[in-house]
Parts: sequence; C-alpha cells; structure tokens
Amino acid sequence: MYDFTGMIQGINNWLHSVMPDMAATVVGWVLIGAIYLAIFAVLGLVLVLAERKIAAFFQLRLGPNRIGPWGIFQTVADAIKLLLKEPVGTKRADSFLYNLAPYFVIIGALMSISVLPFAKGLQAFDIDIGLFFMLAMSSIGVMGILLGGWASNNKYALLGAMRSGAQMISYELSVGLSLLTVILMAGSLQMSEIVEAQRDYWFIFKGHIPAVIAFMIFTIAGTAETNRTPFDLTEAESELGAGFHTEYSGLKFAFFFLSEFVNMFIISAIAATVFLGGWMPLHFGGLEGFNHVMDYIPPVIWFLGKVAFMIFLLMWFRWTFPRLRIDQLMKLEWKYLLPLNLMNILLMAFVVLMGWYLGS
Amino acid sequence: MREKATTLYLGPQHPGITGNMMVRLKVEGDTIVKATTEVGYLHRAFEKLAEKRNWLQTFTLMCRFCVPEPDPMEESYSRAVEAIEGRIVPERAKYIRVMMLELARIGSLLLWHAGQAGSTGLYTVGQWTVGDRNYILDLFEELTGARIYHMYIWPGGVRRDFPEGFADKVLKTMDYLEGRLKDYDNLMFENSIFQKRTQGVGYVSPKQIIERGVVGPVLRGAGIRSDIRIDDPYEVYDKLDFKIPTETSSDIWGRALVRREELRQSIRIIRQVIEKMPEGAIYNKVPNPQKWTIPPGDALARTESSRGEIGFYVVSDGSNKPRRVHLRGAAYVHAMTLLEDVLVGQNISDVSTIMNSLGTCAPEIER
Amino acid sequence: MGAKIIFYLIAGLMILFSILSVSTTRVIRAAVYLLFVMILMAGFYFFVGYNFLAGVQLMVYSGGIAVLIVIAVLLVHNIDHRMERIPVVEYLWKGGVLLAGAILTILTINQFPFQRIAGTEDVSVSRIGTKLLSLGDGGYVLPFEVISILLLAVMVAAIIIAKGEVYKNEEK
Repeated sequence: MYDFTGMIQGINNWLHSVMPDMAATVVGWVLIGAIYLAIFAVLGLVLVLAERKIAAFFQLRLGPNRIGPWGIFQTVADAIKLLLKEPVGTKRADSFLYNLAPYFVIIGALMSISVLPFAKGLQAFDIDIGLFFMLAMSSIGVMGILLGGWASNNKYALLGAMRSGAQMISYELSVGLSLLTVILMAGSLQMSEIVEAQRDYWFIFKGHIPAVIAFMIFTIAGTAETNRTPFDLTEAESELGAGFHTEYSGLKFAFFFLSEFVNMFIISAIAATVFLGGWMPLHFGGLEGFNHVMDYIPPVIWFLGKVAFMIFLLMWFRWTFPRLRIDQLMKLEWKYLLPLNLMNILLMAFVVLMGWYLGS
Repeated sequence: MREKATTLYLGPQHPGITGNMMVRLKVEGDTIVKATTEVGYLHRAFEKLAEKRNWLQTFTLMCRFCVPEPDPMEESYSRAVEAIEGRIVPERAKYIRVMMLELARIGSLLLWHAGQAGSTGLYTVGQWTVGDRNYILDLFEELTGARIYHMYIWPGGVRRDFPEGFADKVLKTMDYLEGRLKDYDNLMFENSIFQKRTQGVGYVSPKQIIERGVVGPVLRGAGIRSDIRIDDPYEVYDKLDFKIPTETSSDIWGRALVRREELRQSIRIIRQVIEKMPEGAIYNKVPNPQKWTIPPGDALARTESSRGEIGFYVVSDGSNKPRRVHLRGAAYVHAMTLLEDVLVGQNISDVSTIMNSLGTCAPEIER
Repeated sequence: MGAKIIFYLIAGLMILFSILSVSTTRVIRAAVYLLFVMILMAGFYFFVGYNFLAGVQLMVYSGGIAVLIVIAVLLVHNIDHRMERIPVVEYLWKGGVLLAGAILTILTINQFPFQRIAGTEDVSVSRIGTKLLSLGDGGYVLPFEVISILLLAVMVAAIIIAKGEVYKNEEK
C-alpha cells in the first residue's frame, strides 16, 4: 500500500517539464547521487557510533557519552579529527596508486547500495541482474585493498593486503553460492522481483532447511568478506601492523574505515533482502488479517529494522569471537563451507522441484 | 614455492606484548625458523639500587619488580630477610600475608585472561576481567592505601591490621568473583574458536622443561605436579587445603586450563584464611628501622607467584644495607630463553598468544 | 544526442587507457589501466542494454582476471624496477603501422552490408539461462558441460603445480 513509484515518476516528470531533456536527466542523476552520498555519510556516522556503543554494552562499560547526549556527535568529532590530520608522507612505491586505492573501495560500496530496494519503487537502479551486480561490485573492492597495500611501500602492509585479498576472493564464492541457493526460489536476479517473490513468506521461512543453512553460510561468508572478526586477521592490532591501511592517515584512512562499515551495511542489506524479505512486511500465507495489520508499518521501517538486526548480529560476532588464523580461515572456506554450499544447492534444487516449500 | 627468509621485528612497542621487549623473528612464509629475544628496555637497576638503601628502604623497591602481581616480591624478600635474622612472624600476620598473596594471584590471573584472550582477538574478556580486577584493587586500597604497589608486607609482619568489616568485604568480593567465573567460561573457555587457536600451539617438550628449568603453570601444564606451596610450604600453606591442577597437553590450552583452575583454588584459599585467621599481633616490631642491622648470612626464599616460582636470594654482610639482592624470576626463563625454543616452527600469528601463555612479564625479566 | 556523447566518452577513455597501459613503464600501473579498460567495456555493454554480459564482464574480467594479474605481478620480486622507456621515434612508426592496419580493417568491415533490425533481441537473464542449458536447437548444454570438466581439470592441475614441492618431498 505504500508505493513510491508514483512519487518518483512525479518528480521525474516535473524535472522534465521545467528544463530541457538532457539537463533534466543530468539533474536527476546529480540528485540521486547526492542522496546516496548523504545516505553513505549518515550510514558511516550512525554505524561507527553504534559499533562503539554496542561494544561498550557488551563489555560492561558505557562507551562514548561525552559529546552530545549518549555520545551521538562522537562520530562527527572523529570525522573532523580525521580530516584535519596531517598526511604523513613517506616514500611511496607508487603515489598514483596510493591515492587511487581508497576510491576503489568507496566506489564499489556506493555502486552496491544503489541497487538496494528500500521500498516499492524506491530504488535507484532496478536492473535485471541486480544481485549479480552487487557481487561484481564487491569484487572490485578487492582491487583497492591490494593496490593500497602494495603502494604503501611497507612490508607488513603488503603482507596484510595479499592475505586480505586472498581471503576476500575465497569467501566471495561462498557468498555467491549461498545467495544462489535462495534465488532458486525467486527465479530472478532482479532485486525488486526477489522482494516481491517473498510476498507470502520470507525466503528463510519458505525454504526451511536449505534456506536456513544458506543463511548461516551467508552470514559467516559475509563477515569474512568485510574483514570483520572472527576473520579480521589482516587488521588485527596484536598482529604485525594494521594490515593494508597501515600507511594511510587522514581522509584516505577515513575512506577505508568508512567503507568497512558500509560493506557491513551492504552484507546486512543483502541478507535482509534475500533471506528476510527486504521491505516486505512479515506475511504468513493464509492469515489475511495478520498480513493486513503488518502492512500498516511502512516498508522503509521494515527494511531498516531487518538491516539493523543483521548489523547487530555482525557486531555481536565481533565482540564474542576470537580471531581465526589465516590457514584456519582458508581451510574453513575451501574444505567446509564450499562443499556444504554445493550440497545445499542440490538440496534446494530438489526441494523447489518437488514443491516442498511453503506456499507452493 | 619456497619463500626466502625475511626478518620481522616484534616490539619493543607492540599491542600484543605485555611490557617492552623485542623479539626478532626470522620467518619463511608464515612459519618462524629462528627467534631471538632482546630485552633491556625496562632495566631499572633495582638489584644495584638495593645495595645503596637500607633494609627497610629496599622493601619499597621490591614490589616494583612486577606490575600485575607485586605482593609475592614483597613477601619473598621479607621472608629471606627474616630467615637471615631469625625474626619470628606472628601467626595473624602469616594468614594476612597468605590472603594478600592469593588476592594478588587472582588479580594477576584476571589480567592474564585479558592478555590471552586479547591476543586471539577476544577483547571483551579483557574488558570484563579488568573491570573485575578493580574490585580486588578496591580491597587493596582499603587495606593498604595503594592499589598497585602496596608496600604492605615487610620483614616482621605486615603494616596494618584489617579495618572494620574488611573480612566481610573480602568474602563478598569472593562471592561476586565466583559468580563471574561462569561468564568467563562461556565466553572464553567454551569458545570453539579460542580452543582451535590454542590447542596444539606452543608445545613445550619435556626436554625443554628440564634443560631450561621451567616452573609454574607451564610446568603444571606439562603434567608435572610441582608447586612451591606444597613442595616447600611457607607461611601457613601447610595448614590450608587446596588442589594443584595439572594438565598433560603442554600446549597453550593446557596451561589455560591450569590457570583457570588456579583462580578457583585461590578463591577457596582466601575463604579458608578468613575463616581460620587468629587474633593477635601483626608485626614483630623492628627496633630502630633506620639503624636496623642484620647479622651476616644469606638466605633464599622461594614463593609461588601466578607465573611460577620466584626466589629472592639475599646476602647480608652485617651492615644496615643489603650486600646483594637477587631475584630469580619465572619470566626470565620462560619469556627469554624458552620462548626462543618454543617459537621455532610456529605461525607468526601465534607469537603473541604464546608469549602470553608462557607468562611474559618484561619488567620482571629485566628488573 | 546524449547517447552520442556517452559513446564518445566511453570510447575515448578506452583508447586513452589502452595506450597508457602499453606505454607505461611501471608494471602495476599497466595492470590497473587494463582494469579500467575492462570496466569501460562493461560500461559499453550497459550502454547497449546487454546487462547480463556487463555483469559477467565486471565479475569475471574486472573482479577476477584483473585481480589475478595484480596478484601475479605482486608476487614478482623486483616490481618497482621500471621497465625501459620506449623512444618516441619507435612510438611514431609503430603507431603508424597500427593505424594503417586499423583503417584497412575498418574499410574491409564496412564492405559488409550491415542491416538494422527492427526491435531488439530479448537478452534477459532467464532466456540466457534457458538457452545455456537447453538440449534442443541452439542449445549450449554440451559446451557448458565440456567447459565444466575443463575447469575442473585446470583447478586440479593448479593445485598440483602449487604444491609441487610437497609431493616431491612426500615421495622421498
């Protein structure tokens, strides 16, 4: 009942009516770009503070509470500090690549959030390969890490970058395969259609066992993709240096730092969209009254709520588990997750074929 | 693909090491082929300083050898001086000393939790244990006036008697700590990733144990039931009832289990001490502290700290200043020479964990 | 009008980065410029409307092969050693030959009577998927299976090559 396609269409028409065609299109692009940059910035602000507060509550302490009530302006203060920091100049292996590397991760992250459906019709880029596109963009982010580590002219940064790169490209496999498992029920890669297909049940309920297994594998592989604990060996403080971003300070470090949080948001958003129904309210096949009540809550709230739940889960992992060593990490992926994933896809294919899912 | 050996330097400033020391690692790929420790960043020349101060002034230096657990140092030094002079310590003072030692042991073990878990990436445990350690430091503050360096146990007894209601406070803190132990189990010891990181890592062979003179939890983690508190009882340990835990795996996990059990035993000991403590004097008063001389002689006093056996060897030449004070610390062997042997063949990610498990205390190594 | 601008933009950047990729003296920069060219190719596919191929281009070429090239280059030890500079004269005559070849090719291709068809082919993902696995006319299931076996053989071979010494040592 909340349909934003009309509103978006209306804005588009108004733009086209007040200025020539080309200009209207370009202005439309700029507007969307500005909105997404704002989302990016707000996400960074909120997530960093949330991480610190949640960590504090897990650790029986208070967290930031001086700057603003409940420390809500803490991230703003951090951002100002990072911007004013002196860029420490040492001899770089390659200045051009050193400066270029953070942009890879930022652009990858921004392109990924552009295909997320926030509500019906509220989507920047509703392409028919939506999910595939998101995965491709995260592959491009790997490049930024490799280049950043190498261009820093630092043995430890290079070590960290290579390991990080190897870890990310290994776990991309698991991420893709676990998503594929659930797409078998949707029948399309288009994000809006994936959400629409969950109108009667969310996929995690619809696909019962294979979907739950896929969800668990996706959460593990997603945490590894974003280089978070228990898979953050490359950035660990008690290891050698701070990984690939050892030599970055100031604004460029802010880019790497922010993009880690936005990547976490992206993984959570993919999980929320594909497994938990995106902006679709909680519906159960036959209960019409219940469904109607659920529909009153705006879809954006549903989406953000689910994403918040997933983010909380990822943060919970971070403060509860120690780190895996790099060889244990790789062993986990190649010897356990990948075979499990493949078997799960077979299982799901069988389930879909036989129609043994809810609401078939 | 054979990778050529590179040299990596861990320290002296490093978030994964307690204290300042450097470990030079020669690595091939991820595996360490040779390790060399370099110490000296924290040398404060305490043993030489002790020769320039009189007996009572020296006792203020002795606690500063080791930060997490200063009380065994004070106690060991005091007992050595009492042995040379033949000074008798009152019963009540002995019980209070045991209580202080065990409280310090608990504090040190809580800090060990933080280091061991923190080096594997589990920082939450560190935040919890440091918070709980504060309650013990509060007890210290109320009894001695200081939180870390107490300067409380001196030759002849202890300096102050219990304030009003202190025994109840101690028992309450012990109850609180026992309640927290379940949480630590859930988060740290039953955590399968922690187990995976620590099992089979940092193995100390029996040959190394004999050659290097290994003591403490490292020894007990290898299956040898040896503890100065029962081998050579001092203070009132022969009157108390406690268990000495041993494990046989001789890796980080075994040592972690040993230390986990020791924490529980310490709580048990403190409860017994509070129950059995007699009334009486707490100090066998030294006649004139500034002009106090001790007959010539020497003595060795051995104490079991949370890292292992420490010993104070004190030599007196009849004057009012010590002729020689020497500390034989557990960390000197474990974290300097044993570490170089144990690190060979290990992964560089495990260096910090191994150092924490062997009980690295850089201040104690270098005095 | 707008389409023309976008086309010239993409094409121009592609040519620029291609020339930079072959003329730069630093190996890693060459790899990065190649990555840009591949991303621009994906841009072309989006421009034409062939979304699936653009996604594949991004995922396989930019996200896979470019990363592979960069990792391979990083494993070479003396990479900050610059490659030799090519004298300008060599540029000019080699460029001239290339240009002549290109013009010849374009003229030859233009001889073919290209026809504009009305409407567009349906290149949706579902159609591609069905075609890929269909046994009937124009189905690709045989090449699909053959390529799968080839990939399996390649992966096994790569593992054996990478672990080469371990197997040799085990045999001793």
